[in-house]
Amino acid sequence: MSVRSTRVAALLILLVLVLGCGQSPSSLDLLSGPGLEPVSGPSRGPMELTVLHTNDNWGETDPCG
Amino acid sequence: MQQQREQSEHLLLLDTGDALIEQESSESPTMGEDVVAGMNLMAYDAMAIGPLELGLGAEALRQRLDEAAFPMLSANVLWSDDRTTVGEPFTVLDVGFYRIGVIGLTRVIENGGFADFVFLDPEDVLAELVPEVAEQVDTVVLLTNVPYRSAAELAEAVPGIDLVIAALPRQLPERAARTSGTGALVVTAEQALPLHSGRRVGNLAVAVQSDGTLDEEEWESVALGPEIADDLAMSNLLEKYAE
Repeated sequence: MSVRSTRVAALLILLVLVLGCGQSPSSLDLLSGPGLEPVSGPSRGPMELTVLHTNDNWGETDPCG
Repeated sequence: MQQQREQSEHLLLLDTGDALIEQESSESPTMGEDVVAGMNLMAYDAMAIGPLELGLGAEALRQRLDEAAFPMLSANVLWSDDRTTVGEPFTVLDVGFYRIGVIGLTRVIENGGFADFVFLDPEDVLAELVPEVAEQVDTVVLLTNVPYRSAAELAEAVPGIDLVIAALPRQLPERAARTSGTGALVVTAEQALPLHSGRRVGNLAVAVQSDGTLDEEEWESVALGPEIADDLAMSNLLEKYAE
């Protein structure tokens, strides 16, 4: 391959790379594509909570309580 | 407690206070050490300090505060010497993805002879503290030995409280109540009658919404009858103190 041919080939490769990069989807597009959810922290939906509460616990150790 | 912990992914165990001794006196042989040890074993998350705890006196109360593996809370009682709060005013508990602030409030005893302590007005304290705590958490809980109706009135006077856990009702309510204006949920643990102390556990199941508000509440007062088997570790612990 001649020097000229080599230069043309290199130029074509560079052109393909530049144009190809320009046409590739951004990282945001990838995350928001169909079937994919944005990466985020765990979702915070409603939480079931049990609250046990006492008073006068001395009655547990003193039978007169 | 163990059974309930196995059934509930997110559980808080709280005490409204007046827990450590029977009378406002120093008659108790262990000065509440056995009760604190038992509450440590049960992994309490927090407790409000009541007048009976103050009745221990400064020295014994400081010992119990050191021994407790859980925060003992009071926002409205100060040590008379340095004017700092007795215990922490509030604590923040992380439960699941939520932060729950628990404020402790002590029933004020007028002319109670507590030379070691200074009482502050509960409403004034809450008016200042509730907004401060609310900024840090999703849900604000008031844990107090202030009587049930008075505690509900405080939650009506001071907006921002989501749940009141109070004590000393004249008659044990059949269900959780709501304050009419602020909508705070109000529950209580026990009937203040002889032979009732430490014999019931309040059990509140509630949904914490994404904004920290509480709804779908179901509450019952569970009697601790003989049908509930003694826990071996607790029995061994109490035997040690009985010797």
